[in-house]
Amino acid sequence: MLQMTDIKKIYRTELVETHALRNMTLAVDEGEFVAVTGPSGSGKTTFLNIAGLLESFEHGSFVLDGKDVSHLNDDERSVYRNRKIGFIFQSFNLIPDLNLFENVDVPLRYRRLPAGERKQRIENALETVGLASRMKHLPAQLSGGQQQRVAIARALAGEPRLLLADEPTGNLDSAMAGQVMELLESIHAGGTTIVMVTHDPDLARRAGRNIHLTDGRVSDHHVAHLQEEIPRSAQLETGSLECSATT
Amino acid sequence: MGIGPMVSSLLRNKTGPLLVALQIAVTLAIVINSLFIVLQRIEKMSRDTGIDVDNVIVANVRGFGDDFDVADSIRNDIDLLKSIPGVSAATVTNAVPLSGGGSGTGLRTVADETIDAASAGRYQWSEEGLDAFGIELSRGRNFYPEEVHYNLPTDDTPAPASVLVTQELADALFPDEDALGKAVYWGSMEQSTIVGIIGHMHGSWVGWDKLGSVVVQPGKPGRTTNTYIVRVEPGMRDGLLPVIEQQLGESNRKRVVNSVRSLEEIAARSYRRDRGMAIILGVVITLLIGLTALVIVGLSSFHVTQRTRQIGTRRALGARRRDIVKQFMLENWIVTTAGALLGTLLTVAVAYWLETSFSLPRLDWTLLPAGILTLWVLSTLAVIEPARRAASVPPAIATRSV
Repeated sequence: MLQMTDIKKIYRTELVETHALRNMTLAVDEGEFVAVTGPSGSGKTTFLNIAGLLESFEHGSFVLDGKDVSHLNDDERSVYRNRKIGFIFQSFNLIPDLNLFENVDVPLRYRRLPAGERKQRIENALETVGLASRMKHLPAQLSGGQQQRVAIARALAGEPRLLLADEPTGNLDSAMAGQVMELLESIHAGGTTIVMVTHDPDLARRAGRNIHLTDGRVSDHHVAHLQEEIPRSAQLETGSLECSATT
Repeated sequence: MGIGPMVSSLLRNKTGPLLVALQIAVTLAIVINSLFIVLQRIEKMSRDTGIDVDNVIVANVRGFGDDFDVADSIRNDIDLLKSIPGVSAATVTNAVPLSGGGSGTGLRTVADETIDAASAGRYQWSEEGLDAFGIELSRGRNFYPEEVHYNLPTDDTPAPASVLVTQELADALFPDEDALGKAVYWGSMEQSTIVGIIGHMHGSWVGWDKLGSVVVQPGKPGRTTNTYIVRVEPGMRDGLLPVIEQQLGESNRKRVVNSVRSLEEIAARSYRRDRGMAIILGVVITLLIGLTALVIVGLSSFHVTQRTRQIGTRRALGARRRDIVKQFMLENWIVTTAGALLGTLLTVAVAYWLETSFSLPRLDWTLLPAGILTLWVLSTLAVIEPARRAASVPPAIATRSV
């Protein structure tokens, strides 16, 4: 599903160069649920941005769902992102002036789907997250947990191949966080590949695999379920990486 | 983003868009009505006068002393003027068309003072008058030299046997028949015969609705103060103004030269209020349009800043740069169109008020679509830069912490 090889990302200002990712190589197989952890400044968000085609990178290659996306231009990245990736943001990122139906509709309109199909997908997605009855409400009329469920519905409606979640429970209390996590697990159980960036070790443990980043490198690699084998594509390619695998 | 959600979104945050729509509405109403007035004034100033305004010089002289011989002075002055190289014709006249000052009269087709007279500007000049003004006779004949006499203050001058009238006056007097050769009656009930029809000529008062209604009688009006009309060859007017002033001044020490000016300058003075009004309204229109453009730029820029994260989110969800530009353009178009619709009603109301309160002519409604189109173009141009700035917001903004 996702194969990054020797990726480098450097942020430059007039005075400083910051190496956000250093020769990162990793793979995520289809159907995996991977948690990416690490301290602040470790490169989690940069990794997520590159994985989500939100940012370009200096060096290396990136294959997403069988397509080399390393050299796509801005428009091509937008189109591919819209078709392949669903995003769940820490701050939900719902558009406050649009009701739930219209919010979930946003990525579908950019895909130029017919109105009837869009309506069906939106209703199904809101049904999945349990908010079908509130589709005319504005985000401000919902709790944080409900808003995050709307964001999940927005991501699901596009039927993405890859779901990228950026601290999906970071702004929620533990009860709501639990509900959102259960929802993600049920989505994963349905076959969707999920990559989740999180600070929370408890949440990370609920993922199938845990990748720990330090200083822009994969520093630790852990498969939660010992009975499972590490997917071959997820194995570290020693020599190109400064990291170790722990099983 | 479709129009439906966009309209809903605008309605949920209506203060800013409403203010812009109101600004556009007020701008449209003021600009259209002002533009109409400006066009009217320009049209008024650009009317065909029937006179060769560009090549006519008007000289005004004043005699003094008990032994001042008016007729002799006029004769010598006309001879002098015609002898100056570049002068093609000259006459003395009782009044200057387009000057704002002159003489008026009323003519009737029957000698009955109980019926309404046709109003007209009244002029008196010699057989060279038509040439001196550059006025064309459309039918009939000019005055014969023997019909032209000095008309001095001491004379008890009878009504002239022959007169020239403009086509407009002829139509007013004889709407259903040819005026040429017909008798007309002055206020004194004395009779004159129309011997020639002037195709078109403006009288003295540029704001009068009978401006084109003129009667000319033959004569050389002699007063203490006399006015000469001098027609010069094209391109020589400005050079001859000081020459004429100097030669008139030197030729006769018993009178002074009050002024020597071009008819163009005299006419311009008559139209100065119209010109002033057109300029002021033109400035108002320009400022208002500029202000509206600035308001649109300002509000759009504010929206871009305010919605940076939202724009980033849209980009992350698959919007291309052009989708963001399109969104801002479309939002702006919706607001402009709403403003234009409201402005149309306001324009009609203002036009009606001007029409009923100030007797202005009915608004030329073709200005309205032109005005709306102009505002559409203006608002589109105004929003381009903010929209491009919005499109440059990177999608990675969506994942940044607040």
